[in-house]
Amino acid sequence: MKFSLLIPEITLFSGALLILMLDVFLNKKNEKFQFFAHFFALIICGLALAFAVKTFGSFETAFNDMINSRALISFIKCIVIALLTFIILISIRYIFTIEKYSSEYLALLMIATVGGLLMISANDLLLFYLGLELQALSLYLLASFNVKSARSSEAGIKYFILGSLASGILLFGISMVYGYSGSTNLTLIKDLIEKTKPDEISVGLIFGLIMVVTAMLFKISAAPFHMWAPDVYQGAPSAVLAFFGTVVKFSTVMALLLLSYNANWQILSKIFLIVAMASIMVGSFGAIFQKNIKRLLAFSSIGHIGFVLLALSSMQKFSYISAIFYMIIYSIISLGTFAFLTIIRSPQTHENDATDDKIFNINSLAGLAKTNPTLALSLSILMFSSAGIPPLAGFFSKFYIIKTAILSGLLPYAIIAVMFSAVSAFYYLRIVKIMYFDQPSAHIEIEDFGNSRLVIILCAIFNVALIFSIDILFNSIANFIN
Amino acid sequence: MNVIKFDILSVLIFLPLISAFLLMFFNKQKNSFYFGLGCFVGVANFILSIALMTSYNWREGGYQFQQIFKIFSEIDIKYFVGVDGLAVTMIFLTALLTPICYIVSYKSITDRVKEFVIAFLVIESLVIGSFASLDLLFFYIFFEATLIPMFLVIGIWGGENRIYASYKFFIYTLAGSVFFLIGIILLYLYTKTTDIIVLTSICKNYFPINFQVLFFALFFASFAVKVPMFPFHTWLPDAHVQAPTAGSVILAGILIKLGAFGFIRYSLPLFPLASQYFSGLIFTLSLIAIIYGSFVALMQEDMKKMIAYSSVAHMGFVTIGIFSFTHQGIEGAIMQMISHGLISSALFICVGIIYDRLHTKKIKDLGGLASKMPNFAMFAMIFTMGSVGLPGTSGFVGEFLSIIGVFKVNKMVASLAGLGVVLGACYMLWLYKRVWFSEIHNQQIKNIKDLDFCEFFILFGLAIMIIGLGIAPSLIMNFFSEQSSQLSSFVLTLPPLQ
Repeated sequence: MKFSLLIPEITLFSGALLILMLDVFLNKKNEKFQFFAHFFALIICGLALAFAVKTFGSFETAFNDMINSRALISFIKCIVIALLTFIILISIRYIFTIEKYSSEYLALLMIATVGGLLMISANDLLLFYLGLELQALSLYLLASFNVKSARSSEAGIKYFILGSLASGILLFGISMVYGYSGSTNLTLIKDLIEKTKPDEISVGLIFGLIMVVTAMLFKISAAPFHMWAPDVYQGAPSAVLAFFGTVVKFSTVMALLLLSYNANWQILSKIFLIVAMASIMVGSFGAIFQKNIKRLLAFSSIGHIGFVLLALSSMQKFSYISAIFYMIIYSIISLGTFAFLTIIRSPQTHENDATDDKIFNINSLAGLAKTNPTLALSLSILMFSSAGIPPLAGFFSKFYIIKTAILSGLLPYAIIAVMFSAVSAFYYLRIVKIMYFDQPSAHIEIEDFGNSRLVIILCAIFNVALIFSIDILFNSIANFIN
Repeated sequence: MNVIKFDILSVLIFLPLISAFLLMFFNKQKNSFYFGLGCFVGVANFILSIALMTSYNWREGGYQFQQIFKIFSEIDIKYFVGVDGLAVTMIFLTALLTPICYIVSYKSITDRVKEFVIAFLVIESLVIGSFASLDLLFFYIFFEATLIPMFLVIGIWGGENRIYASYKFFIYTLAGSVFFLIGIILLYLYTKTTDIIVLTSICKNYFPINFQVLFFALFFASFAVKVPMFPFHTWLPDAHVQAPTAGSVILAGILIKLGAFGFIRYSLPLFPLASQYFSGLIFTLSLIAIIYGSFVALMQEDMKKMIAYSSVAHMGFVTIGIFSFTHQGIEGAIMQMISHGLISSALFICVGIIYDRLHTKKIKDLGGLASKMPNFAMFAMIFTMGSVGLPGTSGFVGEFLSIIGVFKVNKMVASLAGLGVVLGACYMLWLYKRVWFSEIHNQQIKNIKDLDFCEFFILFGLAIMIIGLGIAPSLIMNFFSEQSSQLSSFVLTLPPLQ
C-alpha cells in the first residue's frame, strides 16, 4: 500500500470533509465563516498542490495495479489542482451569495476534483468508473446548486438523466471488456490488444471499448454527444460553470487521453477522427446564432474539444503532447472567460442569475470597452486567442494540433479543421465587436471584484506572453510524456 | 557603432510596441498628448528607418542586420530578422506613413484617442516585423497579428457601415491565411526548417512540380487576398470606404503591400517552377483587375471607393510585373508598390481633408474646390498625375517598368495593361474635373478654408517624394535593383529537374 501516491487526493478529500464538519460544529452562517471556509479551502488546495508536486519522480503502480503514477500523471494532477485553486479563488462572490450552502459548495468542488484525479491516475477500468461517478454525482448537484432558479434545476436534471445514461453505457462497456478480455486492468488489456493481430481482436472487446469511449465522449461533450452542454452551461451558476469549463473539462479530457495512451487504442482512432470533425463543425456553426454568452461558450468548447480529438485520433506520442498543450492553453483561456461571467450582475437585482436572460445576452456586453477598458481588453485578448490569431497562445496550440494532424497523414482533415476555425473566428469577433464598437448598454454592471479581475488579467497576460516562454511549457510536457 | 548597427532593426520593430504598452498606463490625458506621443515615437522610428537605409550596404546586397533569438526549439520557430533591399524600402515606407497617420487624424479623431494611437503603434510594429522577418512562421505571426489592430481601427473609428467592413476584412484575410499556415506547416515537415535563407537554398530544386504547385496555391490563397487580386478584392473597397483616413492610409500604403512582398520574398524564390506554371493565371487575373478595376472606378460616386478600386488596378501592375520574371518587371513592381504606397495614401489624405471640412465623400456634392483651395488643388493635381502615371512622377516609373518587363514576355498582356493606364487617366482626370474644377453648387464650399500648416506640410512632403522618385528613381531603386535581377535570373534559368 503506497498511500504516498494518493496524498493529493486524500488531502483534498479530507479537506472537503473538514469543511463540512466545521460547518456543522461551528454552525455559523455569517460572512466571517464563509470567508474562513474559503480561505481554508484555498490552503487545502495549496497543500494538495504541494503534495502533487512531491509525487513527481515516482514511476510505479500501486493498490493492486489500480493506481498508476508517473511524471505525466503528476504533472496533469498539478494542473488540475492549480485550476481548482483558481476556481475557488474566483468563487468567493458566489460563496457569499449562497449563504447557507457555502461549505457544501466548497466540499463538492473538492470532491468532484478528487473524482477527476482518480480517473486520471486510474489503471483499472473499475476505479476509473468510480472516479467518474464521484465526479459526476458532485457535478449533478453543483449544476442545480442555484435552488431558486428553475433553469439551474433544469440544468441539473438534464445533466443527471443524460449523465447517468452515459455512466450506464460506460459500465456496460466495461463489463463487455471484462467479458472478452478477462480483466479490467488497463495494462493487461493493452498487452492483449498488442499481442493479437488487429483483425483477430474479438468484436465484443472492440464493442466494449467503443462503449467506454462513447461514454467519455459524452462527458467531454464532443459532438454528436453534445446536446446537453449548451443547456447545462446556460443553467448552471456562473462559478460552477467556471468549474465545469476548466477543472472538469481538463480532467475528463486528460482521463480519456491517458486511457487511450495507456491502452493503445489504435483500433478506435477512426471514431476519434469522425467525432473530432463533427465537433469542430458543430462548434463553429452552432455558436454563430447563439445570443446567450454561456451557450456560445458551450459551443465554442465543443469546437475546441474537436481540435483535441483531432490530435488524439492519430494516437502517437507527439499527438498526445500537442493535445495536452492544447488543453492547458484552452483551460487557461476558459478560466479567464468564465471568471468574467462570475462578476457581471444585473443592475436592478444585483444578482448573477442564469434565469435572467438579459445579463447573459451577449449584447449586454455592449460598450464594455468604454466602461471598463482593462477587462474589455483582457476579454478580447482571450477571444482572439480562442480564435487562434497569432501571436496569442491559442494560435500556437492550434498550430501544433494542425502540425500533428498533417504529420499523421490527416492533411485533408487538417485543412477542413482550419477552415472551420476561420468560421469560428466570426463569433469570437462578434464578442469583441460588441464590446468595442457598440454603444454602452445598461443591462449589466461589473462588480468591482479583485480576485476575478486578477484572474482574468493574469489569463490574458499568459496568452500574450506565452510566445516568449513557449519552449518551457512545451518541453516540460514533452519530457513528462517520455 | 557595430552594436548600434546590429540592434537597429529590433529597435525599429519593438520601439512602437513598447511605447504602445507604456501608453496603456497613461490615463485621462489630453488628446494632443496622445497624438504628440504617437507622433514622437513615429518620427523617432522614421529617423531610425533612415539610419537603417543609409547604413544598409546595397552594393553588397543580401540580408543584413541579421539577428536571431530562439523562441520555440521544438519546431524551430525563431525570432530571426534581417533586411534586404526590398525590406529596407518597405520599412522606410511604413515608418514614413505612420507619423502621417497621426497628423491627419489629429482633428478628425476625438474619441478614444489613446486606443487609436496604441492601435497604430502596434500596427507599425507588426508590419515592420513582417517585413524584417526571415523566419517563415514568424512572418506569418506578424502578418496575421496585424488583423487584430486593423479590425479594431475599422470597427471603432470607421463610418456607418464599419462593422460589416471590419468583419469582411478580418474573415477574408483569415480565411486566406489559414491556407498559408497549412502551407508553412507542410513546408516545415518536408524541409525541417522555416528559416527563409536555408529554405531558399534548398527549395530551389527540391520539390517536383506538383508539390510546388500545391505549396504555391496554399501561399497564393493568402497573398492574393492581401494584394488583393481580382476575385478576392471585394473586401478592399468596403474596408477603405469605412475606415478612417489614417486606416485607409495604412491599408493602402502598407498592409496590401504585404501580399506583393510575400510573392517576391516567398513564392518566387521558393517555388520558381510553380510560379512559372501559374504565371498565365496571374497575368489573366491581374489584367482583369487592371481593366475591370479601372472601369468600376470610373463609375464610382464615392471618392474613397474610387481610389480603392484604382488601388486594385494599380496592384494589378505589381502582380504582372512580379510574374513577368524579368529584371525590369520585378524592379518595376517594387517601384510601383512604393509609388502606390505614397500616391494612394496622399489621395486618401486628400479625401480625408475634404471630408473633414464638408463631411461628404460623394463626388456629386463637390465641385469647384480649386477656386477656394488653390494650394490643395495644386497638390491634388500632383497626386492625380502620379496616379495616372505621368512621366516625372514615381507612378510613371513603376508602371512603365512593369509594362516593359511584361512586354518582353507577352506583348498581348503588355498592351492590355497599357490600356489600363489609359483608363487610369480617364477616371482620375474625370474625378479631378468633377471635384476641383466645374462649378460650385454646394454652398458650404463657398466658405471653405485652404490647407492649414500640418496638412500643407504632409502633402508637400509626399508631393516632393513622388516627384523626387519620378525624376531620380535610382535614389531608391539602387536598393532592390540587384536583388530583382538576381531573382529574375534565378527563376528564369532553372536547371532542369532530375
